[in-house]
Amino acid sequence: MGNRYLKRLATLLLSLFIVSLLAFTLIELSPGGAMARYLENPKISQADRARIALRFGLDKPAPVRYLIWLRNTVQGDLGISLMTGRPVLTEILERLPATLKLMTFSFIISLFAAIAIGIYSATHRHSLGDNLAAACSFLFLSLPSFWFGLLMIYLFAIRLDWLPAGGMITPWFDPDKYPLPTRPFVIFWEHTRYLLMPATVLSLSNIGSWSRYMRSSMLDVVSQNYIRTARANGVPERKIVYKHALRNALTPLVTLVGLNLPSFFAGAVVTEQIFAWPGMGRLFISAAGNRDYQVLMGITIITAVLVLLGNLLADFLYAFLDPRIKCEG
Amino acid sequence: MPVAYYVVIIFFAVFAPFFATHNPTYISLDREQIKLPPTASHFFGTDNLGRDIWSRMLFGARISLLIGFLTMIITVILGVAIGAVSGFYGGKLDFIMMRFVDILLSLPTIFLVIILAAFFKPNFFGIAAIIGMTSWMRTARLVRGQFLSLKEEEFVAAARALGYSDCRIIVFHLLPNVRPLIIVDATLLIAQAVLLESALSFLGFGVQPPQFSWGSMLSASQHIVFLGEAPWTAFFPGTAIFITVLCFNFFSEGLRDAWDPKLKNIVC
Repeated sequence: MGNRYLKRLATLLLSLFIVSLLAFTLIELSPGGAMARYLENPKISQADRARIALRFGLDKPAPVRYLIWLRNTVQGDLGISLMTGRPVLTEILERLPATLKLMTFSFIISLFAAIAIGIYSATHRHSLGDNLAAACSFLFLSLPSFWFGLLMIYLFAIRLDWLPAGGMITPWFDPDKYPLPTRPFVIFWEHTRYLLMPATVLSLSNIGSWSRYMRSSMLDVVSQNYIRTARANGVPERKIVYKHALRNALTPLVTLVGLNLPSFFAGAVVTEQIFAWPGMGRLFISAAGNRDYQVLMGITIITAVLVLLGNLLADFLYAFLDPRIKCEG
Repeated sequence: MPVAYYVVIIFFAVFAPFFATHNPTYISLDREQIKLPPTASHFFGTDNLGRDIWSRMLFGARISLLIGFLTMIITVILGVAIGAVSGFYGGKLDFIMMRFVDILLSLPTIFLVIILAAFFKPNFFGIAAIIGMTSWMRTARLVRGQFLSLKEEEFVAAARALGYSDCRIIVFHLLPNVRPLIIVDATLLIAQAVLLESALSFLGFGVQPPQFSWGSMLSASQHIVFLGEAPWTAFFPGTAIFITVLCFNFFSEGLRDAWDPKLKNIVC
């Protein structure tokens, strides 16, 4: 069994190596390579470029630079941002909490909505509600998130003025101004009102696919013998659904959620851009616009680490929920 | 229904010059011409540079759909080739290739897509190539799975006994068997490609001016003041993307049900 986890760890490290090598090679192959940022400025002469290259160690051959980058990264040094001149790791760590906040909130929304819709659809098969849920999930999966986000901003922020159009918190928000009994609610609402729209936009496609999956997995479980036995023993239907069937229906969902993590991060990039959310995705977009290769490499590798750890967690969770897996692995 | 939509939209895209009421790239800074709401002369209004949105959408459809199709073709070629070789030969090669696919599938490839788009500043063919190169994995896996079981069938053994080459067996004997699967997958791929391209263009890394697609038409609406003043500039191109993607998804689902109910569990 220990062997299994060792194997997983090796795969994880290999994945990280491959993604960093891919990102590095792609940047290297592009016209201008790592120096692309300075290529178009006519005020920067050939001599200046050579000096910059020397300063950043870009004069060495690419494979050597990749190895240097790898060594530094393993030691926790992701280099210096070309945009701001600050350490990349500091920049990322400043933005990471915002991204995680958005993703956690959206994750909770998607999970609860998907499970609720899935259970309803499975227990009311071919009813009006089930068909409606099927249609909605189809719509959600086809919805361009940026367009939907803009519509929401137009409706709720500009027309109705209910929610803020972007940002994470009001800069001059001061909880001390409010009397103590209501203060927690004020703080909660202050955070929630900024989260509501971006989290909804980020959740929709997840709800679409997860709820369908939940429905079919629930139907699979309900048709099994032990459920029939429970029914024959006169266990109330509610208890069958929520106690006997739900746990087993959830296990396959864990895998799907783990597999969906990359698209979750991809969605976060777009969502953060629409709602001016000060997270890692926006940093990535501005770094890409500035061709700041250090930041791009840094974010790619950090995201890959997060996604792979998420997958690993999903695996553990799966083994925990379904003990049969341990023997097979 | 989706088929009727395609006929209409491809017709509009092909004959865009006949339906366009204005020059799609004509810029007018006349204050009377910019940010006009939809009227009889400008069906969908005008944008911040006084360009007619209806005409732009017709020409934008060309780029959006072309990138969608091109991406699909690139993805299918890559996916089928890799999946077929992997599934047909099996063994160590298959193991290594599938581990590689697993790794790519578990990584957020959007970051690589954006890096490529930002550094290479591709034209629309380049964009299709970039999206294609990062989305062939699912197709490869599907084809490989089918090939693994198909190659054990008797007709393959018969073909082998006749001394046919591997290449001939793969292309003429095995591929026709997975054709429905590939076509269903391809329609789905078009939907995803249109969606990804428009997101990329929306972020400013896709189609660059003077070319434009539906996604890049929404790009200017990121400015909140502009969105408030002229919501139609975001509404119409976005609706077109939405309906197009929806129809391709619908179409794929319909094909799947029509051809082979068994496929239901394979493509997810």
